[in-house]
Amino acid sequence: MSELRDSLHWNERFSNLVSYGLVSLMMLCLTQAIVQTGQRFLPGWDGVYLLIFCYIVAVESLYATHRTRHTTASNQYWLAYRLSEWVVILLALKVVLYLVRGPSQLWTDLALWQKNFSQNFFSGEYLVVMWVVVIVWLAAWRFADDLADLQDDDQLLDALSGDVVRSDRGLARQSLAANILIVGGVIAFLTALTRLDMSAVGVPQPPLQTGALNNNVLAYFVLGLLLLSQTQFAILRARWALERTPISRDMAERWTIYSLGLLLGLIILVSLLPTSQMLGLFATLEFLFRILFFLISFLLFLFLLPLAWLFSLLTGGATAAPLPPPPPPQLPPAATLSAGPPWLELLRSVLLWFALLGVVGFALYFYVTQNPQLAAALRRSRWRWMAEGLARVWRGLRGWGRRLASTVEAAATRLLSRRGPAAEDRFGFLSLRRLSPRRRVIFFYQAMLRRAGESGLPRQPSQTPSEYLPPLQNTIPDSAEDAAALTETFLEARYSAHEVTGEQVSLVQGYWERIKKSLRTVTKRVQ
Amino acid sequence: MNRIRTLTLGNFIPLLIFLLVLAAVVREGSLVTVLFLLAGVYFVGHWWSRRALNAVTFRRGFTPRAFPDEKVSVRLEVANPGLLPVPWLRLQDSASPELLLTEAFRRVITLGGHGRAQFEYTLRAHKRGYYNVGPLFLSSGDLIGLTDDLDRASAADHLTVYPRIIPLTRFSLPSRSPLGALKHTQPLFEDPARVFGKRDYVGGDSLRRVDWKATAAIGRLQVKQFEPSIAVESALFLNLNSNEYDLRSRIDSSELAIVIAASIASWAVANKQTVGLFTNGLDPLAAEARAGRRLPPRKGRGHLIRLLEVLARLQIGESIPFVQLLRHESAHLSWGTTLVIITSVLDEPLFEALFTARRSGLNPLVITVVPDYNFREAQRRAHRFGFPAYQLTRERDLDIWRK
Repeated sequence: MSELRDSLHWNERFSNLVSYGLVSLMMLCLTQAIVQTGQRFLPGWDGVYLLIFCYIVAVESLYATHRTRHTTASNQYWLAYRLSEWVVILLALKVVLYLVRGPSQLWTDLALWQKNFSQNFFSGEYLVVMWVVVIVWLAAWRFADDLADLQDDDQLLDALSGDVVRSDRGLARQSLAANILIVGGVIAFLTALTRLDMSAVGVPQPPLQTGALNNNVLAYFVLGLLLLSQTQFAILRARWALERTPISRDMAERWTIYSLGLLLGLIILVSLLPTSQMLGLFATLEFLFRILFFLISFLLFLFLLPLAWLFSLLTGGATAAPLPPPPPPQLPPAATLSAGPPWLELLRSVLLWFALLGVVGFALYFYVTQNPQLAAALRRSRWRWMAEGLARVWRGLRGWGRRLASTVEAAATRLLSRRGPAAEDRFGFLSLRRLSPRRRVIFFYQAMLRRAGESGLPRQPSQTPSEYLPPLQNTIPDSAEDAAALTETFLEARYSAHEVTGEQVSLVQGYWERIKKSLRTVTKRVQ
Repeated sequence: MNRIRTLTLGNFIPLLIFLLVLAAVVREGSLVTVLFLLAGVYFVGHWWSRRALNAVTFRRGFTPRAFPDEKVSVRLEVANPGLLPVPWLRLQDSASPELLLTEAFRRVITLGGHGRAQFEYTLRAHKRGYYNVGPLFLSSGDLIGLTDDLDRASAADHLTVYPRIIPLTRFSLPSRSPLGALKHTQPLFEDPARVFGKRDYVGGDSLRRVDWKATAAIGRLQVKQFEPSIAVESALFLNLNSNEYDLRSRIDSSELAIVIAASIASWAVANKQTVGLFTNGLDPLAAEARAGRRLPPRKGRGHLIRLLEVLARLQIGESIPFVQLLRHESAHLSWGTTLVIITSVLDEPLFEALFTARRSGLNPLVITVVPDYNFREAQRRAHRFGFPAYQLTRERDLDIWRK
């Protein structure tokens, strides 16, 4: 029990530390987005100091919330603690402002405070910056509050086995996810705002630094996903604590590393995708939206025309000429987003659409397969032909993919064979073509053993092939004869001096293919 | 299995739409990258967890046979032969409650690429039986928790716990078969293989008995003296038809019957005698469970192990009537075989069957295991018919053959 408690405790501490670190960095991203927006619309303002200050405030808010997590808001201690916390923050903010602006500003303000303290102490910049700090502090508090609900594994462990223990970790996770998405939406919105060209309406704007924007939005979502991963770990920890299941001591570390690896891998992957091509797609979408808007406006105009005529009769005024319909939308200009050879652009475009269609197609397929009722309804509906057609196309594509893969594999094998046996050994691959017929039969039998073992029917070391056959046949009754034939041929190949012919190998390969299919269904059933 | 999925892709849909619209309006590439990232997390996470779990292999090792109260150490080896790490893997190796010392083995681990983990836990063979060890349940899932947990299960292995064997030191079986391995008090049949001494030749001694080497050494004709002996070929008839047992004592009585059968079989093999087993008990491994089990009389330790394995697996249940089994199987036994009848009560139909067997040259010995107030009468009647009868209703009653 102490080992279980110790491992849980260690994992929880590590996970909490990582979670708080992630939240503080997410708050940094939020501040960065706010500061960048401010700098975009107030070119003279330098808000870099705010980044550091807000980061410290976020860390403080997290620490304070963690420390007071077992007290309620109605508690006097909690109120006093939070109020004192805010007094310190406001004073610190003022000090930071004077450190940034220089001591001369302090002397000037000291004189002004004597005239009207409240007005001069709470200056314009101070108030604005204070609101930013409040937002960051509140956001950090909300995150920390939810994180607090994902802690205290010890309490779950202490619950008696007969007790009905209710864990609110699921709700806390949902709340945390909603917060991550809302704050993410705000950051994305602020990022989008900085993209708008306001110089046309007289707002001076410095040149746009897109790289920084990209990193900020992406970094926030990566951190948010890492945090979600930690919350999933917390939920699983709760279940394991209730079950009294010991967990590895290094679980939290590995969990963090794997999550980071997954997200870094994905970042590399998505950064390879040509997002600029998507912008062309968006231009097309925008054009379609405009057409839709034009059609709606035109219909509205047709509807309002007789009403306007009737209204003119009632008023007796001169009939005003009806408003002309809105002008039709203009086609978007040809995208000149990137410079490069035309074939490269074409390739990127094809890649993009292929990836997009692939994702959409897989999502649809996955959704349908995860909802058997929907799949059954589709099979019964009049759109069955479409579903069947799509399935046929999918099968065709899969077959084509397999053929392509086997062609590539064969070409690679040929290439390797030209390089001699040393190359084969170095890579550790087994080339079936280079084996003798006898070895190939043995290979197929061993492949059957391996696959059957994976399907939950491993051959015991004491079992002979003949002894292993009956349980295997019971498991795959559809391929019972194939299993018998394969076993028989294997026995002949393994223990006799007879020549094994290529025809026998072809037959054995056929047996193996059918057995493999049957074993696959067994594996699915087991899962 | 509880599903740990508090988030779904649906939770992200509003944000995805918002980002899509925002990206369309401001043509911001970073927002598109975020869109790809969120979609990728879902699909890659799902693919990863499925792939990693399917790649995991496992092996369970233990001695598949044990005697009661023995501890059995189970070694579990889990390996990830693939490159893709398994972020978390929950293992639960189930076992019959009769084998568990405390709780079923459970562990949560993480396996790196080509990772391997070994565990060991202990089971205790509390009572005889044929138990499942396993299946091993494996669960895993994605790191973010957007998809359902995935489960896998392995095939179960089996542990045979032999019945308790009580050493019988003063047990004997009636037999008419000469030239066996057991010394007999009546000098009816002498065994030429059991020489116990020599004496001077007297007229009428068979020349075959002359010990020529001793004669040459002493200078007088010497003849060998042989010990009388008998062979005991015995067949255990074990009644495990639940309809013939009292409902209240069914479990205890049938278990005692099995212990008695195992003890007598062990005694017979230890004394180099042949012994067989015929029962109407249910054997889960038999092709036809209700047809009973039949192990013809054989010698040797290997045969004893086979007998004990069957006795370990047997269960009481509705099956063919015991008398029917006795009549059918005793017809095939050789003359002189001792029938050890282990049954619930000695009733009229059984008397008739045993009388027939006795007349056909078999030697019955009856052991009843259910308390019966009329047993004295039945015992007297059995004595008149020429076969002994015992009532053993507790393990302690076997002491009559131990002291």
